[in-house]
Amino acid sequence: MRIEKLHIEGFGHFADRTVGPFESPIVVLYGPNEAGKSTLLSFLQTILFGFPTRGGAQHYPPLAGGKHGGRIDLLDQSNDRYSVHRIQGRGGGPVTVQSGTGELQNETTLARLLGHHAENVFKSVFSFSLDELHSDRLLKDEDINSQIYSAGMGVVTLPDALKETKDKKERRFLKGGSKHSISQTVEELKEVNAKLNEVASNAERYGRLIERRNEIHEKHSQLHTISSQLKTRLDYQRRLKNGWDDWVEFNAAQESLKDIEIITDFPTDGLRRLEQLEERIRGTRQAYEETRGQVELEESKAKTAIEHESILVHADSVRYLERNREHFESAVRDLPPRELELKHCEQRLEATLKEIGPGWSTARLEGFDLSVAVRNEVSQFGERLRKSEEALERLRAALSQEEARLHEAMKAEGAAQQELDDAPEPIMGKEQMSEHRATIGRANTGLLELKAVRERASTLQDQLDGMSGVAESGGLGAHQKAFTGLVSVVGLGLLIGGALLGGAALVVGAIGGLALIAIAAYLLAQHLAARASGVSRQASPIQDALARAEAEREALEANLSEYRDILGLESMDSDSLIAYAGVLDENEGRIQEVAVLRKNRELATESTKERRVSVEQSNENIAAAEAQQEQMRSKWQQWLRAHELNEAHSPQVVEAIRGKVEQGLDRLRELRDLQQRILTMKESTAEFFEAVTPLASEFEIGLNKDEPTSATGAADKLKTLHSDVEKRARQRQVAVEALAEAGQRLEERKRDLQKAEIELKELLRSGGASNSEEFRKREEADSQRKEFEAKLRESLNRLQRICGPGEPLEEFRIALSKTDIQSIVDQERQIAEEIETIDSQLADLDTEFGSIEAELGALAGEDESSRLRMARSRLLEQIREHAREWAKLTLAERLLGEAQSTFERERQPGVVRNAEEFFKNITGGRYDRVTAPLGENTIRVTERNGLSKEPEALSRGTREQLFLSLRFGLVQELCRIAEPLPVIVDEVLVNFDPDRALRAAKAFVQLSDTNQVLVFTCHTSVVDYFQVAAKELGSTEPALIEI
Amino acid sequence: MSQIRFVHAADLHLDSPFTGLRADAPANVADALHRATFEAYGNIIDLCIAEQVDALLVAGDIFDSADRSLRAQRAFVNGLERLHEAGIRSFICHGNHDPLDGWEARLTYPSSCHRFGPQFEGVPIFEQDPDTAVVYGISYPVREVRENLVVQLGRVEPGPFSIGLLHANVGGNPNHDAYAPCTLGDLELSGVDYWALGHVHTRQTLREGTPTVAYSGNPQGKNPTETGAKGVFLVEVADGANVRLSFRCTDAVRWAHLKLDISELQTEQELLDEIGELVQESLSEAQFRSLVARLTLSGRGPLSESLRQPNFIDDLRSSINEDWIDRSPFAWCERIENLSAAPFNRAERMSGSDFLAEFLRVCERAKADLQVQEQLRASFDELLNHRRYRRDLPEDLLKETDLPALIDEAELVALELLTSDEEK
Repeated sequence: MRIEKLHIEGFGHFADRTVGPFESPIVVLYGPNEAGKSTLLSFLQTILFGFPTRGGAQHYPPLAGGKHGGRIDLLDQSNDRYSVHRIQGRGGGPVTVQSGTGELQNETTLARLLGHHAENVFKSVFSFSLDELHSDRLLKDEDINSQIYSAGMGVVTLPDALKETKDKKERRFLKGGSKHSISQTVEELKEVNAKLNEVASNAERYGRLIERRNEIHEKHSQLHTISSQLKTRLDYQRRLKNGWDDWVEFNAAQESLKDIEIITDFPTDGLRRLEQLEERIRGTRQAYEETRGQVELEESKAKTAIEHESILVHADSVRYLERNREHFESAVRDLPPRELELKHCEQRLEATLKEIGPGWSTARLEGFDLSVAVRNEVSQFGERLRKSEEALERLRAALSQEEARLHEAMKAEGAAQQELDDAPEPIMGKEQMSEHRATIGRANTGLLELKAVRERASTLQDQLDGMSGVAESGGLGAHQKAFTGLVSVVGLGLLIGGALLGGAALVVGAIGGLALIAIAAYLLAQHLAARASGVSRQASPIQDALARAEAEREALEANLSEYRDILGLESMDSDSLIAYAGVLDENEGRIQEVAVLRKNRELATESTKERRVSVEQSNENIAAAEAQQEQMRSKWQQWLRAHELNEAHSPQVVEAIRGKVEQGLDRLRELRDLQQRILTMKESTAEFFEAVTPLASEFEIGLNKDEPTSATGAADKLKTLHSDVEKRARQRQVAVEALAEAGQRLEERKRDLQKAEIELKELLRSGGASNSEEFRKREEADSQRKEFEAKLRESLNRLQRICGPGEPLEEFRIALSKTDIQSIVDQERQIAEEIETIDSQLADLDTEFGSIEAELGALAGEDESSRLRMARSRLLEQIREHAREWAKLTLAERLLGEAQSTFERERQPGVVRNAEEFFKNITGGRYDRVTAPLGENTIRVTERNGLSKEPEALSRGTREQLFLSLRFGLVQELCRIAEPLPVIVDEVLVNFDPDRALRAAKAFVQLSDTNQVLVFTCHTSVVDYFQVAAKELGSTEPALIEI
Repeated sequence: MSQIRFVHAADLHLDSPFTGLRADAPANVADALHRATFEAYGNIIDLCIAEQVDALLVAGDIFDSADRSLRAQRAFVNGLERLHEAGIRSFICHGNHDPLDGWEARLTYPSSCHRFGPQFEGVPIFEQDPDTAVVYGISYPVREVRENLVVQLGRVEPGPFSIGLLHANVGGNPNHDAYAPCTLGDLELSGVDYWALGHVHTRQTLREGTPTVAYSGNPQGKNPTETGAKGVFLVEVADGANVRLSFRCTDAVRWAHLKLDISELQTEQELLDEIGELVQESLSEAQFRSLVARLTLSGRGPLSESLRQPNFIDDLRSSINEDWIDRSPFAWCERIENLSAAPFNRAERMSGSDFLAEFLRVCERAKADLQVQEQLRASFDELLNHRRYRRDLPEDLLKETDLPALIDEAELVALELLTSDEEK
């Protein structure tokens, strides 16, 4: 597509302006700043692709007038002409496409002409300014960069794939890192190996322990043998030591026996038997002597005489005295106070009888009825009398209350009567009042009617007067006026009447009055309306009417006169009627007041009457109660008489007497008890005296019958005497019995003595001795001999035991005979010390052996090494696994890198290859490679020297040249597959040095072979570059259009 | 001649750790694994006693001297004592893992046990009847025995039934160190009737008849590659010549490699169900021994995307283990290898002109070009020569790596990342 001409109807400051025709392949549009280059560029884009959908009207508004929009004339590849016309409006503005022949085309034609490119592609690739050239937005537009970078399989994901591979690899192993799996596993392995080394030393120790255990075993056996031998020797030495004393004793006994006489058949146990017999004879003799002394003593005791022995016969009497002595004594002591007490008792009884009343004796006391029945009777009488008295009291109190109330009622009645008397009298009765009210109503109506009739008559008179000469007058008709006025007056009358009458009349009056006033107003209006038409009336009927009115007036006046008389008024007018109505209202108030006062007085009279009846009733009740009480008193007096009591006594008094009687009876009983006790006491003292008197006389104990205490003294002496005699008699009896027993024992002692003396003689004879001394000497010799012989046997026996069973005693005795005790002790000590040393060594060995055994058991049973070896095996396997995984990822990374290099080297997209060619030319070969790295949204350029750079690293001019080259590449690539579009640039060469600017211009010239080129510039130098470039390349000279 | 019966065992590796496990086993599993070698040995002893055999022969690598495990050696001697009490003799030789110069606890072996020294010697099985059967054995004096020990034996005396007890690599098995290397021919020439061999952990009979040459394999699998039943040979010799071998399981824990193609699976539930069935089948095959399993998922299908979600594989493993770990016998999934991938037409994509095609072509070139591979391998030096870690890294780390296979895996990783937006 080529642009032929622009026709601007209204766009920015352009209006109705045509630019073109663009006849050359390169058109340079030159104009100074603000000439409108940017406006033209925007116009082109707007007509082809539409106004902005929002704010389209503000998009270069037509400042110089004309419709907002314009037309572009185009030629397609076949040089068919089209015009595209667009005016600002909805949806980007309506567009019209027409062919050169004027045929309307559809939108597809426009899309075809635009190579089916979207607006953004057109603006980025085909139509751009310096600003856009500088920006790398081109690379970020998805529609465009898909052209630059291959969107082929694997490319997009390659950077991620490489990164992930690297990350995974480095998690397994990273040179210089320490957090990776292999490092961690190796560290763990080192720990396990270290522990294994520790455990391995256990095995060495096991071997050493086994060796040591065997050594100990051998040493133990040796020491044990030596120890056994030593113990045997020690045992022998100890036996020698143990036997030494016996050996010495044996030798001594043998020596002693040689010097002792041999006595045969000496009585066994002779000495002891001798001593026993001698002891027995001595003891028996002594006992005999003692017994004989006792016989003599007892004999003297048994013959002793006892004084007053006869008292023993009176033992019972003495015991009686002893028993009753205390009783007697207390009776004698208590009698005087008891007799005094008796007197007091008698006095108290006497006083009580006096308290009860005259005529009371002990006999009457005892005869008084104290039963519960009598007591209840008295109590009941008391209760009844009390209750009747209380009832009477209550009735009397009620009477006084009633009397007070009656007094109050009478006072109220008097006050009501006084009020009635003071009230003013009404001037008339109710009936007369209602009659006067009716008359007032009628009079009122009459007054109103009279007024109306008078006015009507006056009107009629006026009409009649008018009939004669004022027919032409345009004024209001007199009768008309009169009627209207009448109606108005009646209306007012009704209002006033209603007001005077009050109540319902006021309402009726008000409504009627207002209605009539309204009618009057209406009639007046009618009349005024009928003014123009004009009506004339006849005089005759008026005169008739006037006559009727007059008659009516007279009748009314007569009625009113009658009403005045009835009401007693001086004049008959509205004011008099209103005043009289007030008088009637006041009178009605008085009537009501008098009625109320009268009612009050009647009520007071009624109340007085009722109170009086109540008082009378109370009096009757009291009389009845008093009669009943009298009857009760009479019964009580009757009861008192029956019980011989004073009739004046009340039941309470009788109750008090009854209490006194009980008290008197108590005293009487007390008196009699006392009398009985005194009698008993006197009898017992007399009896005691009688008992003591004969005994005192017999045993010469003094007794005064008048002195009771002498009786107790005598009784005490008798008791002492009796006890003494009784004791001495018992002692004498004991002595008699002891004498008999002692005599028997004396005989026995004598027999024993004789028997012992015979046994002694026999013993001496059997010992070959004539007396005890000789016997003792012989016995001593015999005993010594036997003792030495026994020692000899015992020491031999002990030596045999010490020597041991089965051991030859003779050898033992020989051994003993060849040594001495010191040698034995020394030997023993020496051997024991040796044994102790060896035993200590053995114990040490045993301890060591035990600990070795325990340690061996622990070492053999441990499975720590087994566990560690398992762990080591697992860790080694993990290392293998990590290493293999790392190796795999390393390979993946290497292979991906290799593929990337090859791919980038050999399979760059067409766009990049084209751009590379342009860029190489523009930079004069300084950069010879342009590449799009796989999967990265960037472009990389490589200098001749191999240094690779990204756009950010280039100078501004070079970067612009790179992006210009990329656009050239894109233009070429896009035009391969679609309609070639014009390339429109705005000041793109300004940052280029002259050399590169010329080279770029040449590139444009070359491009113009396929694509129309429109260059906007304000620099003449740019114009020159293009002209020079075209000339150098032998192309058509660029067209220059000044704006 | 009466029948001779003995048990041929080898490579007990008592108390040596299990290898190839990278995950920490739960307590009950760890405990079972700790006990596994001991239990397997206990099963051998039980078998000997139950079968009333004449002898137990152990062809080396009873324990790993380097481990210095007292527990292992004591357990071994305890077992021999049980045999002694049951009147069963034992013959043992030492291999590269328990050479004579290796560390050894000084334990007392029962008198019925004969341990062979650094020179071949022949010992009758029946002391009272030395002409019935003789065991010829030799132990490794040091770990590295690179010479052919069979040559030292020469030709044995004819007469008694002869048994050779040897720890050796016969026929140059490339999967095992070439210790005491010899050929089948060497063994045939020795005149020994039965060669009880140790060293190769896979059970195999190299030759039947006379002589019979057999590796019993190890009695307990020790790593994820030692799958299937493990045990010993019960050898019965009738009439001094007819050898009959019967294999007896002794393992306590079994290793399994479960493989599942996910191509046809539509949902995660189907995946779990399939895995459940696989586990159940393996448990049945293991005659209800506990199972340590490695699961490999392969194929391209609808679940591929889910499987590539972060943590999915870990969650899947946890889910499986939650189901099976607390049972008795348990099943523990120690690892899941996800070799599945999204549907992808590699050949078609490689013929395109986009970056992906370029990448695939680069990978393809790398797999074909050894020089490129060398360059790629050199990039591993960054880790292998790292001054801080190199001493602690396993010596063979990445040395044996199959680079083309690793390139395939790398390609898969990169493809997943490059095509991540393609599926969205």
